[in-house]
Amino acid sequence: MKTVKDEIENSNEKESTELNGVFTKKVRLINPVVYFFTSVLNAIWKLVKWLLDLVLSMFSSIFHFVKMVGIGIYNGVIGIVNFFKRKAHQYKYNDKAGRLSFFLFGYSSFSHKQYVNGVLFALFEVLYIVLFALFGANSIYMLTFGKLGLVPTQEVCYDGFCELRIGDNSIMILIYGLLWILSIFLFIYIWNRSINMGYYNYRIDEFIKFEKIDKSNVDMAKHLDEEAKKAFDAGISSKKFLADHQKEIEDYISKIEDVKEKDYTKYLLVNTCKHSFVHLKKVKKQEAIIAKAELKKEKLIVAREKGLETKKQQYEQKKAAYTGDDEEYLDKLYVKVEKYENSTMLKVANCDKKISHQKHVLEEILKRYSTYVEMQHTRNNDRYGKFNDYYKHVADLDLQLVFYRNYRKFVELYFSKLDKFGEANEENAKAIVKLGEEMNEKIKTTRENFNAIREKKKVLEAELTQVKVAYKEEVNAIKASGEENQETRLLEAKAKLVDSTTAIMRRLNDLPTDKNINLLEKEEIKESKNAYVRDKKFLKTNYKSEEYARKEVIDLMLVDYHIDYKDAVKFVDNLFVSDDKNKCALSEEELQCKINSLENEKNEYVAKHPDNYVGKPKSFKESMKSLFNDKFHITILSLPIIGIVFISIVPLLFSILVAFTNYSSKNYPPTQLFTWIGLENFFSIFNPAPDSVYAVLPQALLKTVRWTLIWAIVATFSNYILGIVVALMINKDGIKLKKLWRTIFMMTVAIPQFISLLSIGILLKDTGAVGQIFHLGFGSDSSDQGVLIAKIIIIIVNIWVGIPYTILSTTGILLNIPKDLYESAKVDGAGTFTQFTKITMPYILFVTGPYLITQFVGNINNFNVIYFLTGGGPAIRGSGLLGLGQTDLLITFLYKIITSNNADYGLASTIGIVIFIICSFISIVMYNKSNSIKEEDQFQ
Amino acid sequence: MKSLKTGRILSNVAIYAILIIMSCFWLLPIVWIILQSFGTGGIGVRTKLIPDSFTLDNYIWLFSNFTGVTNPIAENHSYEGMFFGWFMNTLIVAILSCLISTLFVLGTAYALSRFRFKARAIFMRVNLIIGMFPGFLSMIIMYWVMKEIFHLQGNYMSLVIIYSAGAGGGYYIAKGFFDTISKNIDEAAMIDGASKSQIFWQIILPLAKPIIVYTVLTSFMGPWGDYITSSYIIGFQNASNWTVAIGLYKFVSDNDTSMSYYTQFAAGAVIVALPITILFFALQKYYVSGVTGGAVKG
Repeated sequence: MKTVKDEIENSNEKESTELNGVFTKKVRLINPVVYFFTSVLNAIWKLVKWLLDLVLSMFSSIFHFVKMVGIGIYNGVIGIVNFFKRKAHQYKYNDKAGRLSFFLFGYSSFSHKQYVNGVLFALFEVLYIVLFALFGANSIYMLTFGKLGLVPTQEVCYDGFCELRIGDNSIMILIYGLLWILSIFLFIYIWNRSINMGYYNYRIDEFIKFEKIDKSNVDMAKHLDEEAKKAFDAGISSKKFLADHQKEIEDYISKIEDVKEKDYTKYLLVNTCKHSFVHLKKVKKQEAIIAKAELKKEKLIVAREKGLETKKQQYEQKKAAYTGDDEEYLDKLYVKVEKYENSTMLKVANCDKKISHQKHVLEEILKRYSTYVEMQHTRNNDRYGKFNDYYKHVADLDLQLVFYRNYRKFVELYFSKLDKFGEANEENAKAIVKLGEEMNEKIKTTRENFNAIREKKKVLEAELTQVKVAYKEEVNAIKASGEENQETRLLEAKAKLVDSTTAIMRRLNDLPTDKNINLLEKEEIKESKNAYVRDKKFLKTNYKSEEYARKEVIDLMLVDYHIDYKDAVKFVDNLFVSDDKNKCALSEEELQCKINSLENEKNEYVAKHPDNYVGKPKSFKESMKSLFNDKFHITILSLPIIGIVFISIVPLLFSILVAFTNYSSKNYPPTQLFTWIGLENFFSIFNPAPDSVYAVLPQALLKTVRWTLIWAIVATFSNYILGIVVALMINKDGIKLKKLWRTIFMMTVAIPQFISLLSIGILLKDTGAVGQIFHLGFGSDSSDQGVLIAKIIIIIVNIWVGIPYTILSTTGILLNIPKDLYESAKVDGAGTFTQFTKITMPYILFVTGPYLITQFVGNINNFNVIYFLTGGGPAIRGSGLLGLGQTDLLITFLYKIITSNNADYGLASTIGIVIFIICSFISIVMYNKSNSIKEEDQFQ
Repeated sequence: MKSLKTGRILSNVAIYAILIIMSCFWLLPIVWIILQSFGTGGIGVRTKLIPDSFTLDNYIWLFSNFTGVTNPIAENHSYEGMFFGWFMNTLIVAILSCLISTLFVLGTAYALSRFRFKARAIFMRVNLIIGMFPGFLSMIIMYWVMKEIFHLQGNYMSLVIIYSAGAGGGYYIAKGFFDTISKNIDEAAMIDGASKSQIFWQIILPLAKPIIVYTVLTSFMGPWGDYITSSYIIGFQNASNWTVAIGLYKFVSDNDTSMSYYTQFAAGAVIVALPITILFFALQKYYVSGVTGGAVKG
């Protein structure tokens, strides 16, 4: 097999070299200079297009962003309004207990004998209110009107006797205030739960009543429905219809005594009318669509007949006019007529399809229709019927009755089958043998099928080589003949070859590859073997007498009496009165007694519950149980979410708040206090006080932002492209020791970054070995050249750290690129570089687009590389005590502001918000961009 | 035909050459640090590419006579013998936070993969937005919370809370993995009467071994090599509470070269890097599968 394949490959290579020769000759006809310039222009045009696209998508992203924020705010407002509307509704339609639980949490639970739930609710309310009165109110007051603390911690001296009086701490006021504000949301949440609890309790209580009302109103609803249909046909609107039938409905309602029932009935009937009008409108619309489509079809048929006639006439005329004897010409003429006929037929068929589809839609609409009353009924049942144990219990009793009424049959069967186990074993053994034969046959046929495919493939391959040999002979012949038009003939031969080879290749490609053939064959054989094992399991050959009898009885129950397997097993276990060793069946009297008692029980149960309803809302125990089943996500998410709230969300809100304060090392609690200053920090980014250490800030910030963006772009793409190149090199056919290379590159992933980067930093700095040799001035030389060198070194070191990640994440993808793509590219004469830019890169970009975006954002926030290598140096002139450096990224810049002796936390938070906006904006733009790439579906 | 074969050989040779050169660059700093760790020098030596003579003194210096000095700088004492304490601190922090974060990540991922509840979409969106905020700004508040509310100032236990409590937000890769596990398995188990928690513990987790190993590995490596958070939260006052990252950084960061311990830093680096490197290469298979899945899923 291998030799054949190699041969084919070799011949392929030969072909491709010759092919290249032909093509290069062809290309040389064009002026190479012109070709060069056109390709350069093409590349520039592509770049410009890409940039334009980027700018456009940026604008669209801004628009999108604003739109999303707008929609978010709108939805939020609507959501809050709807929330209170719902609460108002729940207050209006509720009983006393439900209404009271608006104010006394858990009251409804108490009145429904769910004491644990009630106690928990009440406890929460009391505790919250007490704590809020004691601490919360003060905290929120201090946060808003207390200006974040009034009395600083200070030493107070009386008569030379000093003591430290502890005052306010602005930070803690901020933190506690924030937490108390968040706790209000918790309170609202629990309040909502309490209300819902009360409402549901009420609804479950009212369930029977609702059900009864729903049922009793069905007739009236149907009557109104029919009337509505007539009215709709007469062109009457729903409002007018309601006004017309107001008296009828009121008459109907006036017979009802209960006030609530009256309200509910009115609500049901009015909605029935509205509902049926909406439905009728839908039906009419659909019917209009169908009618339109049919009209179109008719027109089409008429047009078709006319067209056909004219075509035929034309044909006849031409035929008559033609005097030659070429029959092919006439055939060609007639083909035109046929074509017209066929195409118009197709159009009509399409019309038919559309019409039948629309009719189907109409049928669906009609089928789904039911009156509003019926809908409400099923809705009630769905929501509250699941608490109903009545039917379950009755069904259980019925099942037991079925068992005991047929008790004799089961016992007889049991005893009759006790000695039959031997026969059953034999039968099953035979069946197993038969199964084995079937399996063998199946395997045989699959082998044959796959062998046939292999044969076919071989034949095709042979054909391919034949064609190639023929081509070579022809070429030789042409060359030997030495005619004038050699080149054109060679090209013709080439074209012929390409035609026939592509045809064969297409057929070859339709067949699965050798690897896949083997795999599929193996899988199918495995499947049939598995099926054999599976079926064999059910055919036992070692039945014992009791076991067999049991099985037979269970089978009978399953098949003839529709008893579930679990219940059947239970019944068989209770078939006999367990009497240590002897098995006694129940006597006739005992059986009768059992049946009677069961019947009594059932009758009593039914008589006791005339509403057909038994049930109550979930108790505390049940809801705890459901926390490990259908509400398991609450259990499993609660701790992580609490963690995220306290570690991520609260600090985020805190940072946002701090941005509006003058919290800094000068106003550092507890000895100093800070306070709200509004938007001052945002202004001082651009226009700081000239005499402060931050005077240099705007200039430094501009530099830093520029460098951060350059850094992010260069670092991301250098890592990405070089990583792919290295991965390609490692994975190239013929490169050995792949694992070793990968392991070496992986070293930088394994070793903690603070170690690897620190040691490189030591090596490169002036005091280090490498720095001394080359006099790099790394991180200390603040001349332009020194800064440039430092930046280049940082990027190179980042490549050192980052490439392995790219190798890791792209190796698998590289191996998955379909080989056919490369082969066909080779046939087309593409070189390695073209293959890389046209196949490998787009493919990987397509798959790892999102990864690239996260890498980009990660690089903007890349702390380690800068901090451990240069620490941000060389310093920016004039930044003085802050120690801001030329190679600082925004993130290390922030770190320095926070940790320096002149720390200004308010300013740092403001810059943090700016970083946040930049990052989120870039992410949104890039995601939009990558989505548009995805939609193109280049690689299906 | 000949030219093609020679071309292929040439290209292979070139690739080998490039790979060998790159490998040298990749291994050079690592080899250098290993050599330095055996080098003589002590305090304030200027680093050389290859040390003059070899000795084990640096390792002995790291672990010898633990003196219990809490503030070596103030008491004018060297860091001699403090390393073992730092190592144990880091180990405790890394192991504890690794356990908690693994549990959080897997739980969150499972819940988001298998349950459809009201707050799901909101949670995922909010989490995405939070991820874009520069994380260490939150350290300002965490410092105060640890100091004033938990009274854990300078205690390395506060690091466990900070590293692990928010770990649930990094559920993406694990969720991608759980999504690939067929839901039919869940349904089959549900028919057999298993509750959702049983499905998670007894069916899904045994199937998710690669992602568990990946999560454990990454959430161990994070705290193990973290400098920025630990230095801010722990502070530099009490040296016995430091982690290895703070200690080793301190060894070489002081501008005054007479106070720098280059060779000792190298020895410490080897000791810190060795276990994690061995662990990494032992579990490399799982790490690769995790990273690859993450890259594709995004």
